[in-house]
Amino acid sequence: MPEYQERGVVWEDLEIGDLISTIHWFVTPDDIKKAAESFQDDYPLYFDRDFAKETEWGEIVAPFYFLDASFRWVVFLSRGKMRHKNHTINAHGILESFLPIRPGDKLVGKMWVDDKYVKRDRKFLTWRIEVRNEEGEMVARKYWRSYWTDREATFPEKESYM
Amino acid sequence: MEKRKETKYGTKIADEEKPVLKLSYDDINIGDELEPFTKYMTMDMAIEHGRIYSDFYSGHVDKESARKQFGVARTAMQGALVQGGFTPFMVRWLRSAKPWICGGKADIKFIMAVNSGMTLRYCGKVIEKKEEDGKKYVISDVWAENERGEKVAVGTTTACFE
Repeated sequence: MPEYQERGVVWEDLEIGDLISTIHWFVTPDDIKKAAESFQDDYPLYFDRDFAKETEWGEIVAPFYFLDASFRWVVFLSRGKMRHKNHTINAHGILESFLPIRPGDKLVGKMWVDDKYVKRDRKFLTWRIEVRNEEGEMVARKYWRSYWTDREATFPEKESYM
Repeated sequence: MEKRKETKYGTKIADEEKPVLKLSYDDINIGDELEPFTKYMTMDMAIEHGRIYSDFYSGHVDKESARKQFGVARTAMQGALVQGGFTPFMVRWLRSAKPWICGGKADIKFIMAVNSGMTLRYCGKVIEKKEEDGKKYVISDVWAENERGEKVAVGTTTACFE
């Protein structure tokens, strides 16, 4: 098992500029529908082809928060063979959408450590997630700042069938 | 009474020749209030949301973990889920997803835990209009408050008009 899976990554292990991992994503209509469902968003533009056809888009497009559904920071950590050791608490999120995401798009998401600092004895860390399309254009970006506590998270034990 | 298009059987139907109503940059004025949007937060929503990134153990979905993570045995909604509520809020106000998906921005600080059972009311007010690099932006102060009127998330949204 990789080191950071076993012992869990802590705030001190991470350096500004560290690239955590890369996620490749081929967008399907089902991905877009699931994203909307996971945010309890009933706007049919995200899942109803007939409705979408009548709109200015002419087809299904992904919601503004699609990055939050498919490119979550914990998933990037997992892809980077890491897990966080301690509980974190959300503090600040900046989400930007630059271009529409449509079914069939091939996206590449990367996550870096953008910033880390201590304020009033609390440790903060900001992730930067960028999602680009096949042309290399940025379609969405997110800055996600959390307060990293000293309280250890309990992860479920992996079952062994061996 | 407004004249309506009708079929040969006298059924009144929508006039597809008419343009679809949506807010334009010029329709919006500084000081305008955004139409409030109400969202009921439930435990099922947090569980459903956690599924997209395989979370079935954190303080967002498990009470015992919540006690360790937040200091109270009450699950707290994911910050991204709270932030996600600003999307239907913006899209309903704009009557279009385009200014939100093509250049939109949500800059949100999480200032209080949101628990299941809360009723969130998303509110906002236009504070600035500006033109930059051939694009027009409308910036609003926004917040989400619980049923007691306590603000749980505050920040700004930016809608972008071509």
